[in-house]
Amino acid sequence: MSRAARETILGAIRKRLREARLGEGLPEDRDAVGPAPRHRLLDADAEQLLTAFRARIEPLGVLVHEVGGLDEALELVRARLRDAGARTVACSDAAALSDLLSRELEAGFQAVDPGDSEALFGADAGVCCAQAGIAETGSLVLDADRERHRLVSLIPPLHIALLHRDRVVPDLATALRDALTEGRAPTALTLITGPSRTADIELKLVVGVHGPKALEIVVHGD
Amino acid sequence: MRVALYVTCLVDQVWPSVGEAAVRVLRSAGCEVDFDPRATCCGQPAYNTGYHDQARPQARQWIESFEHSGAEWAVLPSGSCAAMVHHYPRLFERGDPWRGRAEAFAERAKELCGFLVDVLGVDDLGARCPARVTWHDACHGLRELGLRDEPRRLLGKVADLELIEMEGADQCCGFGGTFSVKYPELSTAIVDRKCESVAATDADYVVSGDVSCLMQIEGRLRRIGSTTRAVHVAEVLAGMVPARQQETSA
Amino acid sequence: MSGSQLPVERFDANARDALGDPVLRGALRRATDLFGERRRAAIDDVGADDFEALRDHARAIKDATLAHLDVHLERFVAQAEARGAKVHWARTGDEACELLAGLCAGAGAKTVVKSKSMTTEEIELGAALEAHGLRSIETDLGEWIIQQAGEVPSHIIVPAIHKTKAQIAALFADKLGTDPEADEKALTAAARDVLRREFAAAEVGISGVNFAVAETGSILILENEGNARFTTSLPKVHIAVMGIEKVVPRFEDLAVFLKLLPRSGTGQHLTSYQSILTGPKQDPSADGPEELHIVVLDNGRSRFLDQAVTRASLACIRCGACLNACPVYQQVGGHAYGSVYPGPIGAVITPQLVGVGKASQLPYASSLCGACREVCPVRIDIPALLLHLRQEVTEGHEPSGSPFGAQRRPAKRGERLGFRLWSFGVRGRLRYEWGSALARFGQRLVVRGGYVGKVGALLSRLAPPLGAWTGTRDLRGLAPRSFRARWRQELRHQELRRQGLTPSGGER
Repeated sequence: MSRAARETILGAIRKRLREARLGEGLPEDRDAVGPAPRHRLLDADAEQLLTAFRARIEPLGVLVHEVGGLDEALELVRARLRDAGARTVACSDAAALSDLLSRELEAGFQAVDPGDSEALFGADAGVCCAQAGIAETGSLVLDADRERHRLVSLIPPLHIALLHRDRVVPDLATALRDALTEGRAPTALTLITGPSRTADIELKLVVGVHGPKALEIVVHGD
Repeated sequence: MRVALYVTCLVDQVWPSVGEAAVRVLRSAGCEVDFDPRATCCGQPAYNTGYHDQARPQARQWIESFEHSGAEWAVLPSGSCAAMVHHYPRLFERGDPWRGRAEAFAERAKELCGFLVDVLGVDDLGARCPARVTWHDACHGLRELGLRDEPRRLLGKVADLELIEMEGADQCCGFGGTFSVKYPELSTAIVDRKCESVAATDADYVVSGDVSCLMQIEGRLRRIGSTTRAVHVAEVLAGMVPARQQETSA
Repeated sequence: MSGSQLPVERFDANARDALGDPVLRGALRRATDLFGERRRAAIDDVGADDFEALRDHARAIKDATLAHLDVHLERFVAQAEARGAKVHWARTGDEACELLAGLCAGAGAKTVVKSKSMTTEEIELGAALEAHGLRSIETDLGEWIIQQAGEVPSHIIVPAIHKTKAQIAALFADKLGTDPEADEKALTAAARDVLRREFAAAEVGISGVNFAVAETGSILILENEGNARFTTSLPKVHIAVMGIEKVVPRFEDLAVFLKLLPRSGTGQHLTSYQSILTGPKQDPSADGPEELHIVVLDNGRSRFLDQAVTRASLACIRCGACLNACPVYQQVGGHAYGSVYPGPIGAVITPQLVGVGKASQLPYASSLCGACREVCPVRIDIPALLLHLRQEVTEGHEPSGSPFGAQRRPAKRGERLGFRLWSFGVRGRLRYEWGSALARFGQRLVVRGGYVGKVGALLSRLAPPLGAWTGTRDLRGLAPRSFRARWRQELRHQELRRQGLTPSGGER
């Protein structure tokens, strides 16, 4: 059925486009369309990019912390988890976070396997790294082929993400281009801009409808 | 400069003072004004309701009229009818000689305020109007012809006129041609919102560039007992709008 | 369980009912005002000039893509298949529903979670799945509320825009046993708990597609709540349903549309989440579905391609901006349109999908004010489309082989006769002048003090178009003396005197 449908649909498209070509004519193909308007942040330096990033994301209620090296970042994450009263914590498989896990146990946290969705529903917090940040939009970029954080960043009510300060790119187009490897897109690329939100009841904003109620970003790197 | 004035059928039959005002304004701006009584209606009611066969003879009538006028510009005291003239080419197939003639006409057809400000470069016509007025952006003038600043500039130069912008000045009044009688309750609900905005300005007059919108707004204002009156921008620019105290005592 | 649309044939009656509902109108006004304000602020934030440039660019991409749609679709399908996705084609909504039900059965599904998708609403997938014995759960909060109430959505972006918090609280109290006084936070929390259990249990997740990328075979789904992320990452099988028009050529093109869509729709600079998905998971230890199916749906869309004016409607990115800007939508809301696609874009898409004979009132459900075109992020000339469809209603003929061949267009005998008479009357100058003289005489029956007021309105009911006006509005009567009479008698001569000529008495 689907094969016949394919031929019918493509045939109908071609027939209609042929009629259009005979009538009013058709525009050139995509390649004839010039480049998109250039974003002003493309000329910004790293410091300006981080400032722009924060200016975008902080008004959405996201806490952004700036620290020095990775150890400092992990120490801060542990402090934030304690402050939030988190007991069970899911951590992605990022190498940078392996130390967080071991010391976490010492610190009295209970670790949850990042792939165990049932356990994740009971976790208090999820921690992962972001592969990039986007200054234009204040977004985190999560590439699921690089780290197991698809569910860690979604299911627990608190999501803490580490972001290296050199990984803040100017705009969406750059982030998308960088996400391709030899023209190949990752299995899942997730852009995250703030906590889960809804305004479906009388347009009143409520955070944490399905995904995390709170998002914190720890920017690190000397 | 010779201009052919197309007063539009509504002005001609229902609100002739607007045509008279347009003549005065154009003459005071130094134009020689011609009016061809053979041109009746632009055909918009039929065109907008889907009856192109009935609109086409009107397009031909106006195109011929303008071609015979020898005028440099066609001027209309209506954004809606001027926009209709800009639609004329769509009534004729590619290759039909009428299409080229329609395009040539469309290029020379201007709404009054746009003509004064953008073509003649005139914004002060020496008029006086001691009243509080609020401006309603008629949709076709605003969105088809891009007239937003022109009428405001013209009104800004009218002596003793106080212009108070209403909320949602660019919101539709709900007229919409046959829409106003096909869906009368809906059309009225939309104009009620406009009347609310007008009332909030406490204006003596609501002013616009299209008689059709003015009939809709005026019709509802009168029915709900408002004292705000509707006048056309040409009447204001021609100094034909009296102070309200004068009117009430008259 | 799912509700049904009001009759698409009766916009007039549906609209009248809506106008009689003050709660609905209050909610609509608050919502459309708020979205309008937010949209303006979100545009100021990028700079108006930059936003205009983005709109031009987005439309150019859409136009160029639609002009070679077959090539881009085939490329998309080839790339998606190369990444392990299974692509299915469906000519009609029924075909798509059968296909989806089959896929769900193949996955052994009992419960299906759905994220918000206009396309699945269009084909009435929820009802079809339930008819196959499946539990189909809408997971967008607004959609879920609507599903619990047994209604249909009334807005593209905010499906439950027509319901108040009190109505929702009462509904939840009835269905979930929550506090009937609960506020929006408590109601949302209650829904979160229920839906988390559904996500955990569902074998299949069904989503729509906002954009499909030919270059990489990827699909993009954008949202704020996170339910689409759950739907596309937790169940073992993910099925995405997309119309043929969703394809864009390049991965980078997504950036342009992501800048436009949320700003135009909700006034956000970006929604909380974008999921850009390419194939099912390859690594067994990764998160995500084991199978990804993509259903490519025509359902009448290919018919829009042959003319530029109709082809433009396939550029729509379903942002909802035109709904919020439309003075008609602002008054009556989405249900009155009797279609999944309400508002101005619905008034042009629906007749093309279901036939102009059936939806013949929708092209007239507009004052042609052009506010929709002004806000459309891809610059669709909706008024031009409305005019085109109005002509289709009055003068069009169903081409042979049209799926709507059996549909009759409304006769509109009275209107047609009216316009013929009108045309006869305005075509010649004398006829026009005599006709207006006759009308001037006749109006003396109803005009008092220059207007048809409340009293004249009673009598004018006998002439339906006149009565339709005067029921709620006074009508300025014909002036005692027309402009042309004044021109002949005075104004013209003033001009001649100015030129130093004397009136000759002759007229042109």
